[in-house]
Amino acid sequence: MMPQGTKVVGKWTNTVLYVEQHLGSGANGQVYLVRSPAGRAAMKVCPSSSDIAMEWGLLEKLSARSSVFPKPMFIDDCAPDLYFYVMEWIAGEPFHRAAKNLSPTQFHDVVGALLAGFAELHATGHGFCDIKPENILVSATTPPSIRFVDVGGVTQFGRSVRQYTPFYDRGFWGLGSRKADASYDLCGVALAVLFTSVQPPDVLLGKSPEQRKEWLWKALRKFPSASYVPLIQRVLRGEVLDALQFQREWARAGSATARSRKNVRAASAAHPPSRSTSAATGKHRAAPSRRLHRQVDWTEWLMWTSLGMAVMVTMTAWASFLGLL
Amino acid sequence: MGDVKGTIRQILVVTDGCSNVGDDPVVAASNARKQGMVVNVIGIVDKGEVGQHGKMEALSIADAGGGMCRLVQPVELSATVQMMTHQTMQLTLQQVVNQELLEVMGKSTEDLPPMERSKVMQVVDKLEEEVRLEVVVAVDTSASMRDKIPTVREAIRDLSLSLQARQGDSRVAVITFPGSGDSMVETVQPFQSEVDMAKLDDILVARGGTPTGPAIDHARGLFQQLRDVDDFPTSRWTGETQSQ
Ligand SMILES: Nc1ncnc2c1ncn2[C@@H]1O[C@H](COP(=O)(O)OP(=O)(O)OP(=O)(O)O)[C@@H](O)[C@H]1O
Ligand SMILES: [Mg+2]
Repeated sequence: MMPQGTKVVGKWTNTVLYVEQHLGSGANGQVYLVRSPAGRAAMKVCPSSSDIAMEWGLLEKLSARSSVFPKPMFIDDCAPDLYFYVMEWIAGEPFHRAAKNLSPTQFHDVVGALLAGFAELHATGHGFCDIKPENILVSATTPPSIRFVDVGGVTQFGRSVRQYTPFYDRGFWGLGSRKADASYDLCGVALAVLFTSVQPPDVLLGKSPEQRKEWLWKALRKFPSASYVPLIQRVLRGEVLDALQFQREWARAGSATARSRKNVRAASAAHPPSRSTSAATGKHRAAPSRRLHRQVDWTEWLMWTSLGMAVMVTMTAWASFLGLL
Repeated sequence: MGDVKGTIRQILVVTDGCSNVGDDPVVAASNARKQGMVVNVIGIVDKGEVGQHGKMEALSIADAGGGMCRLVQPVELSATVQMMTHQTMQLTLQQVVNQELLEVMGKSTEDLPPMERSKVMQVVDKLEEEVRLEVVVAVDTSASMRDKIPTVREAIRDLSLSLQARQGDSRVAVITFPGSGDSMVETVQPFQSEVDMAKLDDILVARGGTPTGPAIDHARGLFQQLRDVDDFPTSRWTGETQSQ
């Protein structure tokens, strides 16, 4: 881990960065808050150049059409083996920690904004896939702001999901395939919402999908805000197909909760009236209709020549790559 | 989409100890590697440890087989199987792409500026999704594995789920060592596009030692068989008599 004050000079861009703070770590690498000539930013560092290169490509692709992920600044490396990219620093608290301190109304609004974020991402034809609360950063402003970090799991719709966290994975619960589509993500959101009230135990990892599902339905019945339960259940069953629909129904389920809360209040007349639940405040951005023109360049050529190799895997000299792991 | 000719062949050994019957597994792994297969090894550590000897052996097998080795708790098994399959595929493809770049441009990926590198990785990513993948899962069914079999079964089911989601062709076979009866190795399921869970339910611990080497050899044979079949045309015979 890099101590505070470490100076990093990019080999290709000559950009100077100073490490200010460690922001987080994961399976792929470390993320630091850095001072750059352009201002404070986040730097993701990996020991493997390929992971960094892959994530950078995704960030760039997405940033052209959506702003839910951090804006990419530049990619570079620093001898001997520091591979990194620099992106927008996202302030905010991870979803699971934020959820603990939110009022029911705020929680309702945050999930609404979260779904708006998914709608925006899905409009680009990609799924988030590696959904987990750590990767969702929340600023509980009014309206709340939601941003995603960790682009590593982002997958084009129709391709297989390769990076996921078991408890947030539709396949793990026997609720559907592991192909990236809108409902894969929505299932992950529903699970994340459910797990704000109860955490799945590790023993489920050795159980069959049927047993896992049994645990899930039981947990759902105990979810404290009952008016959301039927909706969550429908999402888990794959009956809600897009983020905007989920968002609309979430708004409706929330106003039901607010009504019942109001009734309780009217009956006891003990509390002063508070702000009633508004419809989800998700920022509806018009779905971008721009289509990226197909890129036909040397990468296309590389793809085809590599594909054309009749015997692809007979080489033996790639063990050196293992050193990267 | 063009026809993806390449095939990635992986053998995944899931064991909790040392081999003690049959040929040397390290030799078997190196033979497999010579034929273009990759051998990965997962050692399941339950409470205690695999033992120094088992650990060394697992490492040597993976090393000789050009693959990866991980020692994990039973709860980590599924995630590890996925991770290994994905990472070894990525590495294999990176090597292919790298060779191609070297031949044509005289540069390796690492020599390219990071922006170009990122384009190369997008190619690798696409290939990984579309290339044909053949995996043999070799499960240790010696007595010490008794408590771990249900977890192994779930991990195989889970792997199958991931393979089914791929756009490219995937084939998976499952073998156990030792086999039931007197055999050292048993094919639980030959190469198929999905795992047959009913057949996996039949996996039980068996009497006998831990014939890891023969299991790897057996897996190699399964690939060979598949390849031989693939050499035959799929077109319908129209009645012509062939010379020879
Ligand atoms: N742009 C950012 N701004 C602020 N914090 C960030 C940013 N990117 C990442 N982080 C923090 O760093 C943590 C790790 O980052 P990230 O998830 O990208 O790493 P990873 O190695 O891919 O992790 P994983 O194991 O989830 O794949 C995040 O959970 C988040 O808390
Ligand atoms: Mg990641």
